[in-house]
Amino acid sequence: MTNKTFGTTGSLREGGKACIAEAMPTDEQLVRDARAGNEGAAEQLFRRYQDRIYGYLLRLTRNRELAADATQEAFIRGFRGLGAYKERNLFKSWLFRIAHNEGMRILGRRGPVFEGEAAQRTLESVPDSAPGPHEAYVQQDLVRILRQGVDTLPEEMRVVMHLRLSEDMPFREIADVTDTPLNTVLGRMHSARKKLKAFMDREG
Amino acid sequence: MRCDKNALLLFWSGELTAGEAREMRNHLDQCDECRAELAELGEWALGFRSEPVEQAPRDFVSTAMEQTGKPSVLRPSFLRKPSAFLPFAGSLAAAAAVLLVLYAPWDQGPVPEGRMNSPLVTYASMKKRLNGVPALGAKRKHISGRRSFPVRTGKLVAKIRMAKRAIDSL
Repeated sequence: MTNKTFGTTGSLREGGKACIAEAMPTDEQLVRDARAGNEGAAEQLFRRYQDRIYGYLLRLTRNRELAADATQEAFIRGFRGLGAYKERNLFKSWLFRIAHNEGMRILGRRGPVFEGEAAQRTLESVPDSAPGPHEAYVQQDLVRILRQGVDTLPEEMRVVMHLRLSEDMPFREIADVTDTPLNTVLGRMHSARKKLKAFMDREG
Repeated sequence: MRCDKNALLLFWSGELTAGEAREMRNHLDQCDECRAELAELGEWALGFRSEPVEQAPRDFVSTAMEQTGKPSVLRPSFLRKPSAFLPFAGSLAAAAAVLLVLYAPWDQGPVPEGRMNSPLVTYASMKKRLNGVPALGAKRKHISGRRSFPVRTGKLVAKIRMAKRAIDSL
C-alpha cells in the first residue's frame, strides 16, 4: 500500500504508531531541551509524571493533603535539581526517589500513624472504585480488597507493593529509589505478600 | 534447583540473566507451588494496573515552576557552576595583563594625533630610524621561552618607554 504520510510498506495502523512514537520525545530528550533553556520541555517532562507521583505519594501517605504537599515539594526540588540529574540513571527513578524522600520526610514530620487510624483514613480519603458494567465483578472485588490490604501494610511494604504492582518498576530500581539493598526490598515484598494473603483470607 | 523465592521475584520482574531465567523456567515446570505463586503475582499486578491513575490537581507543575523561578538549568553554565570556570580564569587574567601592558597609555600626556599607538609598529619604525641603536637589554642573553613572565613583561615595558621617548623627541 502506498501512502505518502505513512510510507510505502507499512499498514496505516503501523505507520500511525510509528508517527506517534516519533512525535513523543523521550525523557532524556526533554531533559536535554530543558537544560538548554526550554521551559516548555521542563513543564512537559514533569506533567508526564504528575499523576503517577501524586498517586504514589497518596498510597504512601494515605492522605490527600499530605500527598499534595509532598508532590508540590517533590516537583520544586525536581526543577531546582534538574541540572544535577545524571543521565546514566532513569529520569523516572530519579524523580520517584525525590518523591519518596519528600513523602518520608512529611510522614516523619507528622509522626507515626497507627494502624487503626490509617485504615480509617484510608476509607475516608481514598475513593473506592465501584465495579463498572464492563469489568468482571470478581476481578474488581479482588482489586478492591488488595487495595485495602495494601493500605494497612507498614509504609516500607506499601512502597514496594505500589512501585512493583502499579508502576511495574523492577526491584533493582525500587532499591535505588528507596535507597535500600536489593535483598531488603525482596524481603519486604515477601512479607507484604504474606500479610496481604492473610488479610484477603480474613476479608475474602 | 530448589525453590528460591528471591529468584522467583526477580524472574517475575524480568531481572534475571538469560541463564538464570532458563533455570527458573525449568524449575517452574516441576514446582507447582512456585508456579501458583507466580500466577498470583501476575494476577495482582494486572488488577493494580487496570485501575485508573489518580488524577493530580492540574496546577502542580505550573505552581512548582513559579515557586522555583527560573530553573537552575536555564542559567549559563558558569553561573550554575562557578568552579568549572576557575581553570580558565588564570589564563584570562594573564592575557588581560599582557594586553594592558601592551596597549595601556603609560605616558599621561596626550598622544600626538596621527601617531599609531601600537608599540610593536612604533618600535620597529623607531629602530630603523635610529640606525641600530641597541635596544635596552640587547647585551643580555637572547630571550628564550624559559624567561619568567614578569621578566619578559618588564623588558617590554622598558622598550615601550624608550619608543615613546623617541617619538616625543621627533
